[in-house]
Amino acid sequence: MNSGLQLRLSKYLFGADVPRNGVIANIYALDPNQHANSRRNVVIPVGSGSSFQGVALEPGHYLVEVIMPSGDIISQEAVATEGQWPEIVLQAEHSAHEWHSWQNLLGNVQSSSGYYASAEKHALPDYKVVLIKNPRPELRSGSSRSGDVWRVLAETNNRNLLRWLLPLFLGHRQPTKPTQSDAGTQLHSFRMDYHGDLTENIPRWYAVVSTSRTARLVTIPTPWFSMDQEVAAELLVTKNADKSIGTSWVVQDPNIGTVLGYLANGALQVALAVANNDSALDLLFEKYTNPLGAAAGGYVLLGTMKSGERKNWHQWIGNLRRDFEWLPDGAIQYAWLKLKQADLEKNRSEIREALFQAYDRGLPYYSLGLQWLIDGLSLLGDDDHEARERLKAVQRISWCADMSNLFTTLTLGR
Amino acid sequence: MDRYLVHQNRSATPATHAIVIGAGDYPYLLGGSKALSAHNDGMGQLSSPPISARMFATWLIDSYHNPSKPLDSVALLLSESPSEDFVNPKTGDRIRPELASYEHVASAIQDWAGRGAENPDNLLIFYFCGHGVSQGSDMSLLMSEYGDNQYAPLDQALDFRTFRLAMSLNPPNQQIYFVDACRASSDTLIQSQRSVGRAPVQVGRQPSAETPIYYASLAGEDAFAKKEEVSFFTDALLKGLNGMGSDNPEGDWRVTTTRLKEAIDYEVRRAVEGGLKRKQVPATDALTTFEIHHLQSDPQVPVIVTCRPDSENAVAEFVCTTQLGVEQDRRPPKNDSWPITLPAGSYYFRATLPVGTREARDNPVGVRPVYRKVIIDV
Repeated sequence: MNSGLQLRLSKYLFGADVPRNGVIANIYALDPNQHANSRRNVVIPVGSGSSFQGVALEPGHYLVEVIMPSGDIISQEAVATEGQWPEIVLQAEHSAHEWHSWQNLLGNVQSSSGYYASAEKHALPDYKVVLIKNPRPELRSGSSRSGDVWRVLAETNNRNLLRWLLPLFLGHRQPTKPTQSDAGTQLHSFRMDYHGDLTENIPRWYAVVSTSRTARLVTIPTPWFSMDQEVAAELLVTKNADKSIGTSWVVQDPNIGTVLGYLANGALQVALAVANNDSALDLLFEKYTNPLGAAAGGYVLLGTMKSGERKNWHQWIGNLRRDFEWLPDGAIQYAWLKLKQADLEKNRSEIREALFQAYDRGLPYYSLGLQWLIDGLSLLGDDDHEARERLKAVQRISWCADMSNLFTTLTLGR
Repeated sequence: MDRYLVHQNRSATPATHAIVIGAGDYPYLLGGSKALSAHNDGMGQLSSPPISARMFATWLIDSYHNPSKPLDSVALLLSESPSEDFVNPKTGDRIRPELASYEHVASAIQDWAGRGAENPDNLLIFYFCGHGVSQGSDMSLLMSEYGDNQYAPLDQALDFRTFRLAMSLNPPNQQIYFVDACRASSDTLIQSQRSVGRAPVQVGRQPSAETPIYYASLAGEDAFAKKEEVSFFTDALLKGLNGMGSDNPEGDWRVTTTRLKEAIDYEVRRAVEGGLKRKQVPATDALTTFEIHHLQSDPQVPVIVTCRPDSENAVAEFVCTTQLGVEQDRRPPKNDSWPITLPAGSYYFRATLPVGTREARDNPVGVRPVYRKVIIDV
């Protein structure tokens, strides 16, 4: 076939284009008699660069539809002609600021028109962000203090967060200033500059975003490596309609940065299609350079897995659990892999062991991990006393969780 | 016919079984007919849930079409004041739905789960519309009698997380959950009560079923529904099922779980967008793709027609015609874009302006789900 379209989504991304694993496109033949010529789940580049994705098509009239991580849908018609490959550029809405662009792409903040329409009435109250480096309780796996993180957090709730939390978390703390800001939003950027072995117990970072009324303990997804370089994790602080503070994350990873957006919005099938493009998932699990990204891939794979399936990637989940002891999410995913492979009673002891191990490793990095940990412990049943005790502790903490955040975020000190 | 059913059409299995719950009248909450509960938490009466639940039940009976799993039964429980009959659109039978109290709902859920378990290839559909309280991943769906027991108010609530989790290890292999909950409370009720509610089903011994959940999580009554109208989420759901959520990879139009999510996300966002931060649609923990519904006619597609610049809409008369030149619709000048709904197909759009007539950029415009925006450059 010597005809087709070259596709790209145009959106200025502040110098961090996604040349390959960008967004999902469907290309529909508009002639009902040629519906078989349609192509679905094609991954196309996004950014302001010159990358296009060529899609071979029979000559005809098509509607190109792009589904963005934000859930926004953009469409445009195009004609494929024999011997030609025209460039089709779909135009995404502009964001209010250049530094909003990735956040807007992932659906964390409104596009320019919607943002300015409501910006004046949503000015941010005074707040501060404190970075907490390397709290240790959740890393004492197997010790008598293995459940410390859950106890510390439970005791912290409804009290003065900083007074109680910081002495218990024996880490460094330092105030951080936004890298960008306007009246309604502020952007904070975090990079760990980690150069050690990723299979070791690496430091863990949290941010505490606090106002006079409330405080949020936010998991920082770092260190995050992409193409052998550490990528900054960017926290956007916004004011919610109820005047509370909201937070959301972007990791400008050209391989799976947009996958995180689809995952956050529950679009798991689309996330899977993007993550599978260009062998991104294979690389994540085989190269061992980005365990947090591999965990995101694990959630996408397990979230779309059908019961009883046997796939090559199942061993990846076991490796994630075994080789990264600092990552609770690997153990949680292993428990759910076993739950989906066979019925609960057949795999009960393996599921139980993995869930208890996850509990000992502390707060999951991903909100989905927190939910799956609770669900898994619930399934072990009321007659399992140890499981019930752990469930109670985790559930108390989860009641403070903002599940709309991709990474575990707790509202404390209400 | 069983006590809670408003429709039954015993068919060769596998089949689809639905339970539809609409809780709007809460006697122990603000504006209710009984003593106000100390646990009202600012919650009051809701006009939309009975309307929304009736609408969804009617759609199921009238329009649902899944050749491999035809509709077998629909259970309907409502709380409304005054209570009214439900008219089955297929048979014309008038049936007074049972009250959506926890006891009734629990009993109806057990019946529904039992019908579903008769064949592992059945499809179960659960729909709830009413007050909901959520904290973390826990969600209490409040039934009509919520607040009648001051010592255990959440005894009249369904612990949705535990219920859905237990169902996921029971047959059948495919179950869909629609939760249209109005979150008008402060959402600290679960924590203060140390309870989420009750679950009428116990964990089964089956491998994990496919159980996609679609839920609106819109805080505040204004974001939930307009008074006396179907809720925003249910409206989006019905639009999705009527075509917005369909695709035609095999030639005919079918609604799948994945495509339905794209349609609902788009439509809910369009209806309630506001503020600096985008409304977040909560992540589902499982969204495998399977077919829900086959359309028996072309899908109805929302179309938004606008001039560029949009200030010209105020002086533009829009006209839409078919490819054969038959006028479909027109709109006089108005200071807004023109939202219309059209069957999938090709159409011509033009705007008559003081400076002359302008055509749509892509005329004829291909209209197909999820939606189509038509721009007329001036």
